[in-house]
Amino acid sequence: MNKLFNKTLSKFEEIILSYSVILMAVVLIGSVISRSLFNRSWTFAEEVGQSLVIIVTFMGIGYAAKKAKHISMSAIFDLVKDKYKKMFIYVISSVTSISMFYLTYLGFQYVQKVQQLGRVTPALRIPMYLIITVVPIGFLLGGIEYARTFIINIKEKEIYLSSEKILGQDHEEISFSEPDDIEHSHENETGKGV
Amino acid sequence: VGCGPKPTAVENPGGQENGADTKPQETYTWRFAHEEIDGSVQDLYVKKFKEIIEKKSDGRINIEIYPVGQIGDATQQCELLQNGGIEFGIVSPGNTGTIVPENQLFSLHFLFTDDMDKNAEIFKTSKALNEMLSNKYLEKNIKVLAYWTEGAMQWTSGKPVNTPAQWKGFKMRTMPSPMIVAAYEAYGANPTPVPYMEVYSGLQLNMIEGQENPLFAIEEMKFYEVQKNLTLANSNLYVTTTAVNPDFFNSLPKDIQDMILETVDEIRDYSFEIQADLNGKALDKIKEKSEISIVELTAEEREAFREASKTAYDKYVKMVGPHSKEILDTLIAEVKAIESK
Amino acid sequence: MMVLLLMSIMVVLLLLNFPMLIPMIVAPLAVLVVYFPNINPLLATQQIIAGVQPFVLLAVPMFIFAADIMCAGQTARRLLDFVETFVGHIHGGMSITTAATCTLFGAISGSTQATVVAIGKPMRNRLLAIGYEDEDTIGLIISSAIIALLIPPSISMIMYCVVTGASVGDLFIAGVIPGLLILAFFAVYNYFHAKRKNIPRTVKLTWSERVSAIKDAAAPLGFPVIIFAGIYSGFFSPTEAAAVSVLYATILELFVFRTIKPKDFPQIALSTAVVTSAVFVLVAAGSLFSWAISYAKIPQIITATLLGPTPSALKILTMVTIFYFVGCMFVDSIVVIIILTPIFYPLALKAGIHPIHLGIIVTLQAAIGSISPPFGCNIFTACAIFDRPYLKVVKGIPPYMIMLIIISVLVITFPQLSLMLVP
Ligand code: NA
Ligand code: NA
Repeated sequence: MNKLFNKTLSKFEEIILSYSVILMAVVLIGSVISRSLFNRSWTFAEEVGQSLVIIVTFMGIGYAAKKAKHISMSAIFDLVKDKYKKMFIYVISSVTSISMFYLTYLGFQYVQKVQQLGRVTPALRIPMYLIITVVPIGFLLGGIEYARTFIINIKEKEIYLSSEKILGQDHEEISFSEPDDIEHSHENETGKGV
Repeated sequence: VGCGPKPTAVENPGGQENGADTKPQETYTWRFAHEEIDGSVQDLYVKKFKEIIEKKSDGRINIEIYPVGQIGDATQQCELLQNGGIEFGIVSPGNTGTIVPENQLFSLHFLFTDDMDKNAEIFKTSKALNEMLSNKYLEKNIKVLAYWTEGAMQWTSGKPVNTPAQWKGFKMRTMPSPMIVAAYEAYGANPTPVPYMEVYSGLQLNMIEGQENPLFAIEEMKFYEVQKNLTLANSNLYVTTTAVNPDFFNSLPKDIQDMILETVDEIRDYSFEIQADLNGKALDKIKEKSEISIVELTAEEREAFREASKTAYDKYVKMVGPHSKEILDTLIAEVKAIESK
Repeated sequence: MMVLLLMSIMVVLLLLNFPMLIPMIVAPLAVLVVYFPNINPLLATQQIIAGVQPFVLLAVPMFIFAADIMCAGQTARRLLDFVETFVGHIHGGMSITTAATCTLFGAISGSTQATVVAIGKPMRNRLLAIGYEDEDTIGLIISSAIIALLIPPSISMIMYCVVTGASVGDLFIAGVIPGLLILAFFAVYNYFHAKRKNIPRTVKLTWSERVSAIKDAAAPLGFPVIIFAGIYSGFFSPTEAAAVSVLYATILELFVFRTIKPKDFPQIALSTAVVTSAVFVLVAAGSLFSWAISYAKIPQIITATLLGPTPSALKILTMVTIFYFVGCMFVDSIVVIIILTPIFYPLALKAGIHPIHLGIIVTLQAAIGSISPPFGCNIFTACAIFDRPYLKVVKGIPPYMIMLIIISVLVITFPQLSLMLVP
């Protein structure tokens, strides 16, 4: 059940992230064509583009954490022995997770404030709070992901950099999780099921 | 970690509702944010406010100025004010139509008179603005202390634009606000939103053909370097407001509140002087530094634009809602009354 | 005390290998909570969002997307084959070409990050295949990308002009010579570096072989032509050009070369999104960081103590260099310009420094700041798009940093370098 949930969540994140980028391109290109060929400017292009950037940035927090793609300065971490590495990971994943949950809380408070004050986007007049809700959601997914990293490191002997990436394993290209994975998820894992 | 759900705006403890209990030696530090650079209209206004109120209060009040949007752009500053992150701000309607939709009436063309003294009187006495519109602001947790102007909007363009016919399909840079867009669509233009920082290169490379701004901004952003025509259109006023966080204001003792209101009242005329002075100097500088052709609209041309602009008025009411018709009609009646004096 | 709290949280968490966004957010939040209890911390969210609002940022995911499409298909390979037939036989030919391409691309993009992703991605693979070392390659790419700020158009320069009232046109022209000077330094260095390291060269090709390479690259060569022509004829803005390059790459790969299929696009877009997110959360966090600094008026406090009442021109220029350099190490250059310029500008004018000269120094420091650790935005952009650890990315920077410091000294000492072309 847990696994099914994780796979479904990944799939959901992947679809949002991927199609947001495609939509960005479509809107910008459409705006150029409309203005240059039909002399009609899309006044909403800017705000749609900005909204999509917000969506990609924050909805990507959890997914990037899962793929161990967040940027860090690993100089000292790379030098220390494996048993200390594990301790590093405990501290990093727990503190990061707690920080992100706190940011989730602040984010939801802010969203509520914006909803009360009723700000809208300039051209399409979409309520701003709808768009920025992705910010606390993004931090929430990030917080969950780092909590999972913490837990999996307690349960397993290997050093998990993220819930999906073990230290020393070659990195894999980011790709859509296959729909099959959802059904056969047990076989596809490295045999260390949660 | 202290994070009460409700922000308290006064930095110093105290500041109770009950004025009588306030110790005479209580001091205050308030933050005042504006969007413009050193020496600009807003900057001079805020510095004057600081000077007068610090003197009036014998140094009990201390104003810290945050210029050039150092703590956020116009929308963010406005939100900081709503949430008590700053106490005072210069909040411009052009940037906050997304928060108080009614204020978009300032984007309508030819709403005020061509006489700045009369406009000053309108801003001071108008019920439509100081009561009806201000109440809309108050619903969004913004208390407007004064409406004033930074000058009239002028047009710069590649080709001449002094008749509405020349506007057909003209790529005019505007802010993305739907009312500003509607104002130029009324002339048949193709309003094209471009971020402010990209306007200069957009004009230079002809992605856009023209833009609107008060003279001081045209001079500041050097748009005259990349444009052939400057049309002194006076199409509408760049209106702005002096605003304060209402929770903060209400928490102040009565004498301090009065001191604030008095100060704002005293610099009301000063705001009109600075805009006249700075815009005049900007025009001189533009003339001195460039070969740009400066065109004034004839009475007939102005009338043609005035006529063409009417469709935008209907759009305002349609977009903002029926209650906005009352504000607009009241304001129009007030303007008429003062104009015919 | 405030500064100490801010810096110690930053440094400790950074060194502990925390994801960089955590120290960037936690440190300013701590300062706000401790020193400004009147501020509701929920406003931090506003500033974090504000960081990713600027419209120009859209160019970054679009250029990543275009580069991903071109690298997945044949466009990038054919373009680079073409270039190699002309310069492959010269020592450092391909690395010098990389620097030159970054400069050329900088002429359409005001963003160093966009330059890193657009040029870096295809170029790096080729340089590695030839036999260049990875650290050298990344160092070269992210350092050459900074020239984008000095070659017009440049958002940083416009920002400087807005704050000071200097002429945008003049500053644009003034940046050209310092920009080309950087390119010249990098080119000479790469020539000798390749010679010393014995990087393999190709045999010099005959003109008939070159003609056939041109034919192969004809369609991809339309790409730079369309981008330049489109921008300089006003068809689209530099930001929109990024999206147009996505369209062009898509048409080529989908219909002309038929190397990728429509169903591949969501996949490519996903990897674009992940890289974008990893970079932009740092931009967002940086925005909160700089906001807290401005709110606390930290720069004013520091400059007042360091400068004294009537500083000399040299002292001011030295301070400007250090402050902008350090500032840009932590946050985006545009933010640094907004915060610091109003402090230094009046002092500089009083000391008789030419506003355009100051503008070039400021822009140059902003440019250098984007490759200086810890928060050089080019560094983490490179980490994300090349998927390399932070230290590997930083390792190739020192020779370029030394050259840039020499150039800074030249630009400060010889105002003519900046003012020569200014009318
Ligand atoms: Na550039
Ligand atoms: Na930077």
